[in-house]
Amino acid sequence: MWIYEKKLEYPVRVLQPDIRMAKYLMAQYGGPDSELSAAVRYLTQRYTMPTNRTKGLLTDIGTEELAHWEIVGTMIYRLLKGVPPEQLRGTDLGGYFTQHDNAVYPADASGVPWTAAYIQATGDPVTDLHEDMAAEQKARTTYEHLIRLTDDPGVKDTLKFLREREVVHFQRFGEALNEVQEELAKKKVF
Amino acid sequence: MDPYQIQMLREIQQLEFVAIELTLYLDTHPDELEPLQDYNRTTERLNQLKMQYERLYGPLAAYGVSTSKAPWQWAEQPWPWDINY
Amino acid sequence: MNTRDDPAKKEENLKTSAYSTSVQLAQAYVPWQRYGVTYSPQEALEKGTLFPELYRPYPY
Repeated sequence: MWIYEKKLEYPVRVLQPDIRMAKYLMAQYGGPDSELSAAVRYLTQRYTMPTNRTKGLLTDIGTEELAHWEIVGTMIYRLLKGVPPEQLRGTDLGGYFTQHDNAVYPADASGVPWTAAYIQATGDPVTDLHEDMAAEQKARTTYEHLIRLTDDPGVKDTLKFLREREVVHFQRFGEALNEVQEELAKKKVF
Repeated sequence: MDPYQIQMLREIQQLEFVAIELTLYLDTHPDELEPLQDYNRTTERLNQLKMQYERLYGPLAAYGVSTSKAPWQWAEQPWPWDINY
Repeated sequence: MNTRDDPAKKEENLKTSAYSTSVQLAQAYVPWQRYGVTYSPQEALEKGTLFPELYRPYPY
């Protein structure tokens, strides 16, 4: 089970509302390589991992991804807070506002709703861990694009934190892959 | 939110982040003693700090983790997305 | 230089093999991290990692 803690993993500071940046950030909230995809991917794949350690790692990283999802959601919420519909008219978010007002709906930067088709769980631990490592790289790249799309020092700062987490998770998944491959090799011998 | 509360929350975030990093490290290096000792030390400091925070500002968690004064305090303080850090 | 003739590389390969019994073709590996100096809690949160060897700042 999970227990909610009433705080963010990393503090979010937002200078002022920014409709365009809110829209771009949706990539990491409800897009293919979003924090939501990451959380659901790892928390789904963990059931069929061959070692207890790897089940633990996927549980723990999956849990941290939920905290990241909350951070991205908070940034979007703050960037849209108090923006009146008149200002959304003719902007990239006009269509979004029509359907969701100022709610934080899991869709990507182009408005495509989140789907489980963004993730895979093959039941093959080597294959799944490769997907996880690729996912961390894709998310890192997306964060780099996002960092270059904003001048807000608060948003930049939080994005840099999230980007660095992708690097650390990649390392841990790589170590898990080493262990799983070793484990599978042992089984083949006997 | 008063600056002292923000400051305490920041310290909790810092210690908890160290605990997260050490958790993930220990997940793939479970036999190593030094990070384990650091993890246990960090966790003790974190728990103390959380208790101090909760005495002043109310529960950081419900579901049987933290107790509450009357009336039910869980929703008294602002939610994380409404806090100006 | 060929990795087989490079003593530093040889040492590195030995280290890797101490952890994984056999390094095979068509398999991916990541070097094992070793526990060393860590950042202070404040610096760790600011940087996004506790480990200096995993810190990869982005220059923009």
